[in-house]
Amino acid sequence: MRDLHLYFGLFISPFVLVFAISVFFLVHNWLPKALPNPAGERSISDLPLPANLDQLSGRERMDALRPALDWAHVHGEVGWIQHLVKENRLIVTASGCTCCSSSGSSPSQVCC
Amino acid sequence: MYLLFFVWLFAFTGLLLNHSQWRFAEFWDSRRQTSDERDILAPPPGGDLAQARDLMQQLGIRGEIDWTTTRNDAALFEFRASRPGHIFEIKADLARGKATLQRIDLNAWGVVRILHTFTGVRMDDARNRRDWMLTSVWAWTMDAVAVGLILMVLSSFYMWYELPRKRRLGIVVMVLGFLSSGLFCFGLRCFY
Repeated sequence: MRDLHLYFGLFISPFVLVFAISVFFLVHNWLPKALPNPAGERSISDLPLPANLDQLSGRERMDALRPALDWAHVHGEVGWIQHLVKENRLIVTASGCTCCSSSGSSPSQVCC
Repeated sequence: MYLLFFVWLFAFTGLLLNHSQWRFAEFWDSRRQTSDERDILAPPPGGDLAQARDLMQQLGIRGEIDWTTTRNDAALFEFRASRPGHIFEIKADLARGKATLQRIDLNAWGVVRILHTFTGVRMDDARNRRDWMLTSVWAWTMDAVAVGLILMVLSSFYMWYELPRKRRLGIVVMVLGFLSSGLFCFGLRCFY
């Protein structure tokens, strides 16, 4: 039992170090590379967005957006989706990438 | 022992954050929400932070200020103040001398969950900085816990190294740990 405790502790110790070190970045907002990088922006047109996207919500909207995100090579975990009705714009945050895409009947476009 | 309750708190709230579908820890659906309109005196000219603090004092609110909208009209002032368990949405019409105050009260599950992420700063918004003393105290506490954990891990490496019979298997297990954590930190970039 003592050996199991020792070896399990050794195995998870790198994870504990990663979590502990990440505290400093999260608590003090130290991550210069997380700032928007204009040079890294790209625009993509003609995204395959469904016509009724503005009527969907929750999981249905997420599922409807997934082909467009895959098409734009935007991978990762989708965090939240914000729909700006007046601007006819959807803001989708995927892990490590924020994308905005227009929706509705206008030509679809995404920028990351 | 100093770290024990903090580690339990962060481990437990980490589980709650990872599993938002756990119904026993539900807090948002059972929130209490009230809204009322109050008379205010327009704060003296100054920065947004000074004006927000003035309004909070008039309304009897304490907490960390969140800037939720960009101020386009000098007569309208909207912001959020929060502390674990309570969220206040303030919409002030300085020209009319009125403020709409929406108050949201959360249960104990809401309090412990918010403590996990209560830093007063946001990665994607440089405007939000810590402006409440207790948020700073909590942030320093989290730093102290992180430093304590790092020291604990390093000292455990030393204690393990002092056991010659367990070095070989220990190295294997530790390398596996570093490889698997490295996979999440760096390796996943190769896949995506």
